[in-house]
This record gives sequence, C-alpha cells and structure tokens, in this order.
Amino acid sequence: MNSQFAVQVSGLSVWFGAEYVLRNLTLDLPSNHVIAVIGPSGCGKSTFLKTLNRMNDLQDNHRLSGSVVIEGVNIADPHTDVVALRRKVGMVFQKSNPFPFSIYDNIAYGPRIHGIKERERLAEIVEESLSRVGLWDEVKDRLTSSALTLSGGQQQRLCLARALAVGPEIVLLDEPATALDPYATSLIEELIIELRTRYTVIMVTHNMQQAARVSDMTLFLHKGELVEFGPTRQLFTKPREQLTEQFITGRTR
Amino acid sequence: MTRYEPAIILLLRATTWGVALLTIAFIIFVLLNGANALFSASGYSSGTFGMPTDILPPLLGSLLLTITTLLFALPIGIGTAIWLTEFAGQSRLIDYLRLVTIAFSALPSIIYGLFGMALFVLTLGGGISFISGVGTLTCLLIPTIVVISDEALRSVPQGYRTASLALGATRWTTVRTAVLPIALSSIVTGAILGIGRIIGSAAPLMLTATVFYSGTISFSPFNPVAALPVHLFYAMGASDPIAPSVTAPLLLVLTLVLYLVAFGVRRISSRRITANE
Repeated sequence: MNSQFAVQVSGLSVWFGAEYVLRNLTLDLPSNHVIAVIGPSGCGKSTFLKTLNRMNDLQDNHRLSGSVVIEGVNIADPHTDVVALRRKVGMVFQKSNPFPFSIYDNIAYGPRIHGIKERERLAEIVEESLSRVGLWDEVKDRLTSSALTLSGGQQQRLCLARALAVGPEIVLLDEPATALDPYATSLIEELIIELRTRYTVIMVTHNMQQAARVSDMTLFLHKGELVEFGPTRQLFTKPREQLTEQFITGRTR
Repeated sequence: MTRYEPAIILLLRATTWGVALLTIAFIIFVLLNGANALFSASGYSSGTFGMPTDILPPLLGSLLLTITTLLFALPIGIGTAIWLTEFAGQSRLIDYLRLVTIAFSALPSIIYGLFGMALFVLTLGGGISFISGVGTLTCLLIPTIVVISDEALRSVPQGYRTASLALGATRWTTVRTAVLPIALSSIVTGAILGIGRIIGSAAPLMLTATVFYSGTISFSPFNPVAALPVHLFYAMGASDPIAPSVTAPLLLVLTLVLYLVAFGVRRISSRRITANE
C-alpha cells in the first residue's frame, strides 16, 4: 500500500428505512494499522463495517449519503463495481461460516470464482493463505476432509484464510472472536497483530481488553455518531470525551 | 409427560417396523406373483381380448415418457425455485405464489389429465401422442419440483450466501457455486419423489398419450405410446390373469431402477459436499 490512508470517509450517513444508523461520519483510516471499532450495541459499528464492502446492499431499505474513498474510488457511489470492491476488501463474520466443502475447496472458492483455474496456482494460494493464518501445519495432511470437522477456532481462522485468498488489501473483522474460547481467541488476536504488516485491519469488537491489546487506533461510535477516534493507548488512558470514558469503564452503554 | 414416554417410543418403533415389513411383504408378493406368471406353462403370450402379448412397448414407453418429462420439468422447476428463493425478494405476491404452487403440487393427477387434453391434445393440436403426454406430465411434475427445490434452497443457511458475496461473487455465481451444490442432494430427493408421481400415473396418460392398445413401438413423438400403468389398467379389465402379474412387478422394478439411478446421481453430486464425517 503506498497511500497513507486506506479509507477516507467524509459526511457518511446511513439510513435503514427512515432511521438514521450512521450520522455524518468523517474520518480517515490509516493504512497498515489495526483499527478497532467500539461502541454499545446498536451504535452502528457493524453497519459502518459493512458500508466499507457494501454488504449493506443486501438489505433493501438501506440508503446512504456522503463519500467513502478507497484507493481513489468513491465506493459509496451506487455504480461502484462491488465485485472488484469486495476483492479488495475482505470480511470475516462473527459466526464462522466455512462452506460444507473440503478445507481445500473453501480456500480455493474465492480464487476460482475470480477465474483462477490452474491447479498449481490454486494449490499455491491455498498453502499461502493457510500458512498466513497459522493453519497450514495443522491441516496440510487433510486438505480434502470437510471444513466442518475443524474446531471452532480453526474454522474461524479458515474463514480468515478464505478471505485472504482473494488478495484483499483491507480486512474487515466483525467480532471475529466472540464465539471462541480463550485460547482460540488469543490465536486470532496474535494473527490480527501480524496481519497489520500486509493489510489494513478494521475490527468491530465488544471486548475492550481486546481492542486495547490488538489495535493501533480506536474508533468510538455512539448512537450512530463518531464520538472519538484516536490512537488506542490515548483513547483508553486519556479519553478526550466524557462519553468515551464512561463507556470504556463500563459506566454507561 | 415422562410417564408416557416409554409407551410413545414403543408405539413409534412399532409403526416404523410395521411400515417397513408391510412394504417388504408387498414387494415380495408382487415379485413372486410376477415370477410365477412368467414361468407358468401358459406363459405370457395368452393375450385375450386383443390384449398385448408383448410387454416391451409399455416398458419402453414408460421409460421414455418419464425421462423426457424429467428433462423438461427439472430445469423449469429448479429454475423457478431459484428465482423464488434467490432473486424474487419478499412480498405478499411471492408468498401467494408459493401457496398456489403447493396447492398445485397436491392436485389429483386426473385434473392434469383433463387440462393436458384440453391444451396439448385439442387446442395445440398435438392429438393423442407422446408429446401431449410429456407436456401433461411436465405440468403435473413442475409444482412438485418447485416446492421441494424451494424448500431445499431456503434451508441453505444465509451465512453461506454472505460468505460467498463477501468474497466478491455475484448473486448468480453464489447460487451456482455455493447454494445449488449445497442444496442439490435435497433437490435430487425431490426429483425421486417426482419420478414416483409420474411413472405411476395412468389417468393423465390415458387422456393424452395412450390408446387402448399399441402393440408396436413407434419412435415418432407424434404417435400414441404405450405405458405400464395404462397397460396394467386395461389388462385388469380384460380379465387376463397373467398380464397384470407381469406388468405390476415390471412397473415396480422400473421405478426401483430409476430410483437407484437418482440415488447414484445424488451420491456423486454430494461428494464435494463433505458434511460432518
């Protein structure tokens, strides 16, 4: 990534029906950083994340205004090529959702739909992607067995590898470790920190300790509005806003 | 409630075994009778009342009718179900369409026979012929295929669709490469039920495709055909003791063979879908 900012958001508002979900957000997300998005339930965290890869489009009654620029392209424009956008902006969901195919076919799914057919190239991508999430050694002898035979933590890392296999530059993580045990969570967290060297990671989390542990920058949303955005350490130790302090110390929601 | 539990489980077990034994007994009875008739001294050539002495035309007729009908009904039915679940969205109209389709899938086959006679035989001028029969059976089968495929597609978890879309697949690619393969084995189950419905239908064929007796095999789709269930029906009326005994097991065997083919297709198609092993 050569540009300084991976995502530049200005005047972004999102509605579902008549209801405001995000209100006039303006901020620049720096490249090759881990950015945590925190805030109470229903504050618009997930909506913000899904705006970045236009997954909100799946909801009929959704409407947005403002601009979101990724690599010089305003992806808020309704004419944006969402296929190209989603190749650039990968996503991992809260509930791990590997396809009921083999481990190999799960990783190869993305490259295949984008037209890669050569066996050697696919095998390369599969190994590279699985290695990048630390799963290669665990599964290299059973690539043809079902992805559903993996443990919960492995499945979530598989989903991350599947997203990486199409070569994104930005990775969106929607509470990726909420459904995992502490050990699997720590593995995912280590991974997120490593991902920073190659990707810009934007992660929604409900876990304040997790945000503090893995992120460089933190974005605090409240009722659809941007309350505070700054370096994680500063935001957690010396928050500028009273609302931020109340939230991170658990005194308000 | 736990007081009744042992009794309920016993009852369930009894009904399961009862149904299984009844089915097996029925199959053995039909097959034994058929074998008896085939090997009895009189043989199967003692046609009375102008009944066919040859079983080949109805056997071939049924096979061709069933396969040709599937060739039309499966793509149309599955295509409709794909549109309903993946592209039509949610509205009162779509709910209504679903309801009507279910109602149509439960319509007695004689109604389709009358409809087919009015449309294919008379209005379109197809006459009593193979194509009129295929048209009628296709109309009869489509609602069943739609209902079952729709159910199969809707039971594919939403998470697979979002995963595929988030990887940059278009909606159609998602359907083709993720949703359909996952739903396929249930859809084939539907097709198997469909085979059962059309292969045994005598009434719609009698009105659209078969004549009283066709002892020769015609390879023109504009000519009438013979079919096993119709053959069986007339053979009963002709008070021929042999013909039904041979026709019934043949119909049974043909159906079983088609089921086996369908199950084979399902096994192959689901090989990629590796569920919990």
